[in-house]
Amino acid sequence: MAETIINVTGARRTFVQGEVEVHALRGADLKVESGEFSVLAGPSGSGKTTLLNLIGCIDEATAGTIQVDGRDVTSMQRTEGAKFRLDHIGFVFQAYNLLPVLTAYENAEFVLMLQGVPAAKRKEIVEPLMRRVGLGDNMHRKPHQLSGGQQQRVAVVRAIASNPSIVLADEPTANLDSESSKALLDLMLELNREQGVTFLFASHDQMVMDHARRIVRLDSGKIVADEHKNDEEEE
Amino acid sequence: MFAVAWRNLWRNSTRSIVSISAIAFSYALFLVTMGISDSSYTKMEDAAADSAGGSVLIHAPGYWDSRMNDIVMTDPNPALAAVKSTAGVEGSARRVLINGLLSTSSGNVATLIQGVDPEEEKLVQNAGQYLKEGTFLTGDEEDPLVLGSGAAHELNVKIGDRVVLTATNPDGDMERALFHVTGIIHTGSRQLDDIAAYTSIPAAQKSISMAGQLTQIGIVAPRDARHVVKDRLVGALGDKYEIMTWDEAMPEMVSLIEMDAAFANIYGLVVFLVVVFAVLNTFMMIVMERIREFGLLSAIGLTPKQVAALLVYESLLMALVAMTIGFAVGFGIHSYIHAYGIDLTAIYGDVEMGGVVMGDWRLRSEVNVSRWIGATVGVFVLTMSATIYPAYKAAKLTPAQAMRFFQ
Repeated sequence: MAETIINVTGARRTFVQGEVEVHALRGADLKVESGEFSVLAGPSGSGKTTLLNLIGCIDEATAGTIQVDGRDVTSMQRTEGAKFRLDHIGFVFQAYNLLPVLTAYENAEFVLMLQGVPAAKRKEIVEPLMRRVGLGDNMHRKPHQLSGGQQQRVAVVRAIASNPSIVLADEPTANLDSESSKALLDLMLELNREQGVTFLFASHDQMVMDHARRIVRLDSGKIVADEHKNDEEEE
Repeated sequence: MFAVAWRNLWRNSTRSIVSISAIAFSYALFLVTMGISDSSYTKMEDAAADSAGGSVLIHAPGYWDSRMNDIVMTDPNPALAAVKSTAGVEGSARRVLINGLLSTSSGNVATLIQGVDPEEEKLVQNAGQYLKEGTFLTGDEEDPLVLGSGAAHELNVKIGDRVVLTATNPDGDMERALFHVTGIIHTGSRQLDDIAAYTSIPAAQKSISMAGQLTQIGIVAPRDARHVVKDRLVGALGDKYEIMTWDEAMPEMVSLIEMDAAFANIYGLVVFLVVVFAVLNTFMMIVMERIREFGLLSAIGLTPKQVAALLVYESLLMALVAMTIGFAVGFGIHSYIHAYGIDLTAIYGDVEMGGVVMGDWRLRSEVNVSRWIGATVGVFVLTMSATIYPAYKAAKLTPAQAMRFFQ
C-alpha cells in the first residue's frame, strides 16, 4: 500500500485585503499518496494555488492541519519551514523559475548546493538529468538564452535533483505553447513512472488534466470533486 | 552564495558602476582631503612652533602671561645645562626679549626687540631668511638692529641710521640705548613687520643692563616628542623655570587646527551620508525589482537569514570593489601631491593665521595611518549599514507574498 505523503485536514486560508476578508480556502481535506500524478484543478480564484502553497509550506493556513511527509507544516517557524522545503519539496512555478545570473546547469544544481552536496556529487546527479530532459547541449546557457519550455525543464531538474518527497508545480504550462506544454508534461509523467516522483499540480490547463491520473476539483475555496482515472482512461 | 552575489552585482552593470563610482570617488576624495589637511596641520604646527620660538620654551616663572621685561632668567646656566643634556633636544636658541619703544626724529614704534644668536636661531625662527636689505647680525656690527619693514617705514630709517630704544630694565628702571640699523626684514605678516626687531644677545643685554641674563630659551624637538622633552626638562629643573610647549604657548593655533579638523570631519560625514542614501536607494530598488526572485529563493529552501545574507554579500562586494578603486585613486592622488605638491603661493602669498605667518602655500599630502584606517572603517561601516533595511525587508517577505507580487 502506498504511503500518504500529504494529509490536509480542514485547511482554511483567509486573506485580509483592506477591510475585506477574502476566504481563499474554506476547509479543504485532501490526501495524496506517494507516486501520484495529480492536479488541483479549478477556475481562477478557486483556491488551487492557495492549497498548493499551504502544502508547500510557503504560506500559512488560517486554520486546519497539513502534514507533509509525516510532519505538521502548519506549526513550523519560517526558518524551519525553509529547511523542510529544501529537503522534502521540489517546486516548479509558472514563471521566473530560474535565477537569471546562473547557467542552466547551475540553476539545476542550486538546491543540491544549498543542501551542501559536494560539487562532484552534484555533477554526478545533475548532468544525467539534464541530458535526460534534453538539455545536454544547453547546460551552460543562461536562462535568457533558453526557450520557455527549456527553462521549465531546467526547473523540473532542479525540483527532482534532490530527490524530494513531492514536486509541487503551480501552472507550469501557463506560459508555454501547446507543443512545449505537452513535451514538459510527458517528461514529468515519465519521471513519475520511471523514478516514482510524486507530482501535484495546480492548473486549469486541460492538457495537464489530460495527463493527470487524479483530478481534484476546487471551486470557491472548496474541494468539489475528486476524480481518479483508471489506467485505460489514462491511455 | 558569494558567486551568486557577485553575478547579481553585475546584472545591472550601469547601476552598479554608478553606485561603485559614488563610493569610490567619495572615499578617494576623503583620503586626499585628509592627506592634505594632515600635511597642512603639520605645516601649521611647525610654523606655530617657529613663531612661538621653539617646540619647547623656557622662561622665568610667569613670563609668558605678562611678557614684562623684568621677568628674566637671572641665572640661565642650569637651564642651558639641562637643555644640553636632555635627550630629544635637537637644538636650542638663547634669547633676550625686550618690549620697548624705538624712536627716531620721524616717529616712534612699540617694538619687541629679540636679542638672538643668528647661528642658534637658524634652527628655530631663522628670521634671517626674510632679510630684504643689509645684513642679519654678522657679528661685525656695533649695536646692530635689524628692523621689520613696517617698523623701518614708520621710523623712516634706512641702513646705517640710528634708532633709540627706550625700555625698562629688569630692576624696573627706564633705560635708553642707541642702535644702528644694519638690516631690514619683510616676513609678510603686517603684525610682525610692524614690531619685529633683532639684535645680538650682547647688544640686547647691554641695552637694558641684563648682562648674563636671558628671557627665553627656545628648544627644537621632534614634533611628537615635544611633551616628552618638556616633561624631562621639568623633571630636571623643577619649578624654578616656566617650561611650556608651543601649543601651550599658542592655544589659539591649536583651536584653529582643531576647528578646521572638526569642519573637515563634518564635511566628510555629510559627503558620505549622501553616498549612504544613494546606496540605500540602490538596494531598495534591487529588493523591489527582485521580490519574486527572493520569493523563489525562499520557496526552494533559502532561510530568511540566507536571503538577507545574499543582499549583504552583494553590498559587501560592492563596498570592497568601490573601496579598492577608491583607495587606489586616493593613494595615487596623495602620492602625486606628496611628491610634487600643489603650489598656491601665487593665490595666497603670505597669510597670517592665529598670529603665525604661513608663507609656504605648496600643498602637500601625508598619510596619518590611524586616521586613514579610521576613515576606511567608517566608510565601510556606513556603506554596509545602507544594506540593513533592504536586507531586513527581503528577509521579512514570505515566499507566497513574494511570488504573488507581480501576479
